[in-house]
Amino acid sequence: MHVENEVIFRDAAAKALLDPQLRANFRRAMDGLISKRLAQFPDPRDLQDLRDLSTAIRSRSLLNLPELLEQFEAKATENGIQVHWAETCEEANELILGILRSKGARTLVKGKSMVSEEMHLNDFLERHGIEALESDLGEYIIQLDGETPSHIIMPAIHKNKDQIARQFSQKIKDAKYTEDVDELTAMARKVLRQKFLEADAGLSGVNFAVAETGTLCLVENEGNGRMSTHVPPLHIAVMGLEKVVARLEEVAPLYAILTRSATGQAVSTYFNLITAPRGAGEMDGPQEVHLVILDNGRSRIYADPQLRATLRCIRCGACMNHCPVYTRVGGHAYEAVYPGPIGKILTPQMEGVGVRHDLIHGSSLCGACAEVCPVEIPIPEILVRLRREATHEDAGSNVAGKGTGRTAIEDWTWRIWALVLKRPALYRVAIWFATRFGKALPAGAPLIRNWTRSRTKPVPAHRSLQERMRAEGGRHD
Amino acid sequence: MNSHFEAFKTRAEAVSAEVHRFTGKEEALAFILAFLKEAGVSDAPECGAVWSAGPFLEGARSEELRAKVPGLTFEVTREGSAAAKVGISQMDWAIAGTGTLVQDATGVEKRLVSTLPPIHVALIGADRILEDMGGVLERLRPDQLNYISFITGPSRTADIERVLTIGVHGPGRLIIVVVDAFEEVTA
Ligand code: SF4
Repeated sequence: MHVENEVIFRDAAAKALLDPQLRANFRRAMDGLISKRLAQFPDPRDLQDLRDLSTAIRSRSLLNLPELLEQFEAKATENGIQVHWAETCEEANELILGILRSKGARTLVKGKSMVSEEMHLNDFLERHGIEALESDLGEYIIQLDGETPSHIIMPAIHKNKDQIARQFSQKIKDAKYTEDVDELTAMARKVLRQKFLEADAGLSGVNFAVAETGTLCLVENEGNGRMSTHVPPLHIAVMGLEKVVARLEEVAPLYAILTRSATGQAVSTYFNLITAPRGAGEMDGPQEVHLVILDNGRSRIYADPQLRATLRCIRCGACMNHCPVYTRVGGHAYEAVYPGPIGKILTPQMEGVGVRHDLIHGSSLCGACAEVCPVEIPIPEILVRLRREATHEDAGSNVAGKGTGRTAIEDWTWRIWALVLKRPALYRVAIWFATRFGKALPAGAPLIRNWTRSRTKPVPAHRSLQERMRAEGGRHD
Repeated sequence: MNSHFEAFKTRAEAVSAEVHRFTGKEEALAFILAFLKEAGVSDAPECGAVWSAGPFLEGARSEELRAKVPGLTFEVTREGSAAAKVGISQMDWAIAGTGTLVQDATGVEKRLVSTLPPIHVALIGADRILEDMGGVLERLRPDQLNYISFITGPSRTADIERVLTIGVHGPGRLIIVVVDAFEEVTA
């Protein structure tokens, strides 16, 4: 099967590069994050020790994933958390809608959750008459403009405060125009506080799930995660099925490396361990806690021993902050829920390597991502593997959309190439033409321009090696 | 004397918490009373204080406290906490390495008073300060506690241009009251 070569990323990236404001916003923010992370790791040996430990914990958790998930479900259920499984995003959305409807809930206030972005939950709920409001400040800002996150940790980082000031003064009732960040934050706090108190349900993500105790761990700074999980009478958590670890003690190193890698903080302001709904006789707190565990292609990724490393990810965003491509084009150019290096390997595996062919090629393979990744995911190696998968239909491969990234032009180029190489006479004729007239080919010619768009045109020698050997004879000097 | 106190104080202050230390319960109570006065706690709307009762309060004459501070209540509700100016609660552990407070918040009222009011006063015994998170996790039994909170400094965000802003959704001020002779109090 052939699909037209998708070039979303290439075109969107080219557009982003022409926006000096956007580039300045990202450059400044990413430089800040890079230096704050570095300050948390003064000794490279300590950093490497912590990375080794974190990588080992995540790898071991994945190795035992099926058993850990079972153990986790049993324990969480025993604690009173209602566990649901969803193979697809549609299923997960329907499950959440069902839970909300069963409680007569009409408003949902959300803490930050990338899995809910993956599900496009907000749109889905709005279509079914349920208001879903983001409460993380960054998420709130982008929701006001109907945008998607441009960074997994700092969703509104593509905007500067002037843009946010304008937006707030237009979209928040009775808001005055101010560029003072404290005042802007206070405005959002006021609106959201009211919503928190009125909401019928709260939603949160999950950073780690502990199998031995059935506990959900939630990392956050603002306090909206806390509020989403205990102010409304119903709490729904969503997580990808890879999040589970065996024991509570394994959480400490993962948490330590997560916050340091993400925002350069030694710890986040809040770290919440949620194990059960409200106790008997209590008047407040969630009456029910539900957890929706999403697959959405993860078990297929899991089945491949090399690609499985993708699931080690703890969503710290460090690979984005350090990526020379991401820092220049920003998150929206990827047109994917997960942007940057992790998105480049995750999105094509979820949506198909053929469909998001553009993403696997949008990398110089410089290796900066793998160098900073706290769980040492070999992102460049996986990119190379996916590039191959996109054009080859290997029988043993389990990759979504394998072999569908090959275009008709590419296909024909290789066929002709094979034809020529197998026939020496034809090869000599082809080379004769290439050496004599190759120089005359305009750089902007079709096909050639795919190469010359960002590189100089290669100039063939005016005699082939074979011709020179014949003319000059073999010499050993 | 707890050897971890100084490290704890340095770390907590680095993330904008305010740390005070007292030798005994009476001194700590006197400080809290003075603080509530200074913060303008009264029975006017939006000016109350909510105190989620813990061992510290046992025998601490809550009636007398209530009489001294109009607007102070020990009956914690969601609405009451949302309308209050100050929330007071007792912590179970602290972590010196990061300036973190740890609380068994199985009782929802403890979560409410530490999240909803703009000021949170946290009480902790000096001997409860441990070196690192590992030490706390060893002592915790989350399968028996519905909700455990780790709190490090006041609520913060850097979502707008990475400018640090304090007090987004949670409290903008975190006042930590460390008491040396805490055991006597809980005994
Ligand atoms: S791939 Fe690594 S660096 Fe990137 S978000 Fe995941 S854990 Fe962080």
